Amino acid sequence: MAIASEPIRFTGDTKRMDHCVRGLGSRVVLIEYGDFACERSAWASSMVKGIRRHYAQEVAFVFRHYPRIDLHPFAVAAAQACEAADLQGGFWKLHDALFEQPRPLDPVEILRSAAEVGLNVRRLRVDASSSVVRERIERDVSFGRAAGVVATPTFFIKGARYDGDLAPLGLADAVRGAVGR
Amino acid sequence: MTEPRPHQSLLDNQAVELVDHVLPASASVVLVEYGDYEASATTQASTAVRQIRDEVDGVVFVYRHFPVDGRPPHEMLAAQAAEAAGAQDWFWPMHDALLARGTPKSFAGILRAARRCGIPDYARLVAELDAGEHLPKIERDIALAVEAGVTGVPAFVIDGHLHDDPEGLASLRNEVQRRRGNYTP
Repeated sequence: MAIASEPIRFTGDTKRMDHCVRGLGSRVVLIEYGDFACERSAWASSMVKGIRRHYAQEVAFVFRHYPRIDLHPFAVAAAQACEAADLQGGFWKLHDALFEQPRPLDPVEILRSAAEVGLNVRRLRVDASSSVVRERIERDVSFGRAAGVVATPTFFIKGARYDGDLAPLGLADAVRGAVGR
Repeated sequence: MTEPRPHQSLLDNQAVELVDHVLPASASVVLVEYGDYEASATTQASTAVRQIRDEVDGVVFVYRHFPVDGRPPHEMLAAQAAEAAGAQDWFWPMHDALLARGTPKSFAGILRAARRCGIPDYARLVAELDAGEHLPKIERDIALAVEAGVTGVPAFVIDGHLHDDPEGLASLRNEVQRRRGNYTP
């Protein structure tokens, strides 16, 4: 299913769009299925940050939720917080902050992070249990399942799953190959 | 391969959501209690529950409301007060105060409990009780309880499995330990 490994194009309905940091002339799309409560996702996020910075022109980065509640009880809470942050325009702020927190994350820590990056926590709490938020997370998970994601983080580069290891330069090398510089 | 239903595997009763009140741990087991501060069975069980959550390592404890009698004039005031305290990051002190022996669940008794546990902003709590601001959260808890098959309080869900409690709270402790792979009979 292409949509599972490729970004959703702009349709005019912002609720249906991906969370995407878009390079101006991006020819390469990097999609991550990640879990804020996952140690490996957190570890990979610093690498992704480097890639985002280095290929700011060439690479669009899409983040989709794949909370592993079987492993991490607070994975859904973190994803909900991030989606609720999006309703205040703070998705990436909280995304980055949560990945920088030491694990395990719990709801109190999550809300503290949200306050630290300047989000309205009272509103965030309410929005976190809204159906918009729930649907977005469920959608990401169903895309992930369709794309064969079983572990986090799982990356797709130009629609192809990255199966290399997560050693510091593996992903960056693969992205460099796709970009061609 | 049968595709798991998204609802079942993602945001079901087992999934701890951001609105939940949680005592975290570097988790291996999620224990959800559905309780009613106004029911004596919940109060009576609270010591045993506290022992489990404090003495068994790796238990993430979640408390959700299942007020048995939510009709007027009760209006689930104790649960609302706990939620209002939660909005000030004061859920657990209020929770414990409501479960303490001899706390009356009258309006006055609940307000006294709020003061006794040191609520940071008393006026805000009263205003939120007045406005019924936290009723939606309580209704959400009730809906989850019903979905889990809960019929009375206290009820416990361990890692998504409703624990029917034929032998009282001793069996709950055993079940929690068994599920974290640490069972000592």
